[in-house]
Amino acid sequence: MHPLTLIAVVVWITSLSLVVDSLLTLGGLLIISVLMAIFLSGDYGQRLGHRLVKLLPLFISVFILQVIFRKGDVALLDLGWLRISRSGVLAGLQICIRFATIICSASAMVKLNYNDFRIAFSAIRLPEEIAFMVSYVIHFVPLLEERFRQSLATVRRRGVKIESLHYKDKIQLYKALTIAVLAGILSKSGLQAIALELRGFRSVGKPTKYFQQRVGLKDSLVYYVMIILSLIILGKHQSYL
Amino acid sequence: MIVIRDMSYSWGQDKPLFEHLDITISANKSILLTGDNGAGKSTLLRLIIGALQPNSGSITYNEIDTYRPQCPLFAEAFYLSQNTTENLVGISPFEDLSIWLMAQPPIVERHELEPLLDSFGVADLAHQPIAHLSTGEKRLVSLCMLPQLMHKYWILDEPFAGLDAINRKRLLELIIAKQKLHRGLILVSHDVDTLTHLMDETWEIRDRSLSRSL
Repeated sequence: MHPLTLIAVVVWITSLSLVVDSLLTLGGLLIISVLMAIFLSGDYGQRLGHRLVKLLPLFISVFILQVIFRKGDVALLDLGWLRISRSGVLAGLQICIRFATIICSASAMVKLNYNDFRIAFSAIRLPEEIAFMVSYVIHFVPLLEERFRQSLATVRRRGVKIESLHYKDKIQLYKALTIAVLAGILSKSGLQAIALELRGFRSVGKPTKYFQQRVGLKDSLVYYVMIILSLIILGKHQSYL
Repeated sequence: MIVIRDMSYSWGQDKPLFEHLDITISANKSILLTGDNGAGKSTLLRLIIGALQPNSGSITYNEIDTYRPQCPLFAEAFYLSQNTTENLVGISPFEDLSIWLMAQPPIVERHELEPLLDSFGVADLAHQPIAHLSTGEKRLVSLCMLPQLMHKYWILDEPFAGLDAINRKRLLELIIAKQKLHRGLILVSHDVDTLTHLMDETWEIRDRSLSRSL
C-alpha cells in the first residue's frame, strides 16, 4: 500500500472522530484505528493495550471532570450539591474515545520511516522539509518514551530504588531525567539534520525512487471506501455538515 | 553468584545466538569475554543483567531470575554499557554523578563528586551538557564512579573503547587494584593480548557456545 494512503486513512479517522458525536460511530472509528495499530505498527501496536491501560487514570480524570462540570437537561443523578447529567456522561465518553482513537491511529504510522514520508508527500508535491519534520514529530513520542525507560533502567542499575525514594527526591529525579532526555533528543535532531544535508538532502533533482511506488488498485479502493463512509456518516449527522 | 542454566536465546526465530548454555559466574573471579563482532558478547551481558529475557532456561542471582524487577543484583553489581549514552543520565556529568547520591546503601557523599570526575581527568567538563560531549568524554564520565564501586561486581561492556593511552592505563590500574581486593568482574574486550594475563579466566563466544581457558 502507498504510504500516502496510510497517512490519508489516519487523517480521515482523526478528523472524523473530532467531527462526529455519535458514540456508535466513534466506537467504530476506534475499532478501525486499534486494528490498524495492531496490524501496521508491529511490536508497538502489540504493546498498545498496555499503553492505553497506563493512560487509564488520565481517561478517568477527563471523564469525571466532564461528568461533574458539564450542565445538561436530563439529570441521571441529582444530589443537590452534585448533578450528573446525561450530556455530561456522553461528553465524557466522547472525549475519552476521541483521545484513544487519536493515540491508536497515530500509532499506526510509527512504522513509517523518513523515506515513506518523502514518497507520500512527493506524491502530493509537498516539500521534503515537511516530510522530515512530520517524520521526526511522529517518531518523537516513541523515542522519548524509549529513552526515558532506558534512563530509568540506568538509574535502577545504580542501586537506586525509585519506589522507596522520598517524594522530593523522586520529583528531582524525574525532573532531571525528563529534561536530559528531551535535551538529548533535540540535540540529536540537530545532528540528524546535518547528516541529511551531508547525504544530499534538498539536492537538485528528484531521486528515481520517488517514482517507484504508485497509487495502486488497493489504494484506490481504500480512498473510495473512505469517501463513501464519510458521506454516510456525515449524511447521518447533517448538523455537522 | 550468577547461575546460567540451559539458557537459549535468539534474535527472532532464525538467528539463534546461544543454545543450552550452562555457566556459573562466581563473585570473586575476573573474566575476560571475547568473540567476533556479532558473536553475542553484549547480548550475553544484557541477559546476565536482566535487560533481556532468555527464550528458555534461566539466569539467576541468589536464585532469583535476573530479569525480575525484585532481583537484588544491582545492590551487588555495576553494569557499564557499550553504548555511552545509555550509561549517563542527567544534563551534565555532575548531575549524572549526583544521581548516585540516591543509591541505597549510600555509595558516595556530595563533596566527593567533583574529585571523582578528576580521577579520569574530566573535572573541567563537570557542568557541560552531556549531549555536547564526545563519545570518548562520555566514556570517561561513565567510568568516574568506578573507584567508589570497588566493592561491587563489575559487568563492563568494552570499557576501553575510545580511551586514549593515559586513560587506558588508569582503567587498567583500577582493574588490577580490584583484583587485589578479590572482587570479581566480567569484561568484554577485543584487546585479548593485554588483558588475558590479567584475568583469571578468558571466555570466548564462538558458534553459539562458550569456551573457557584459564
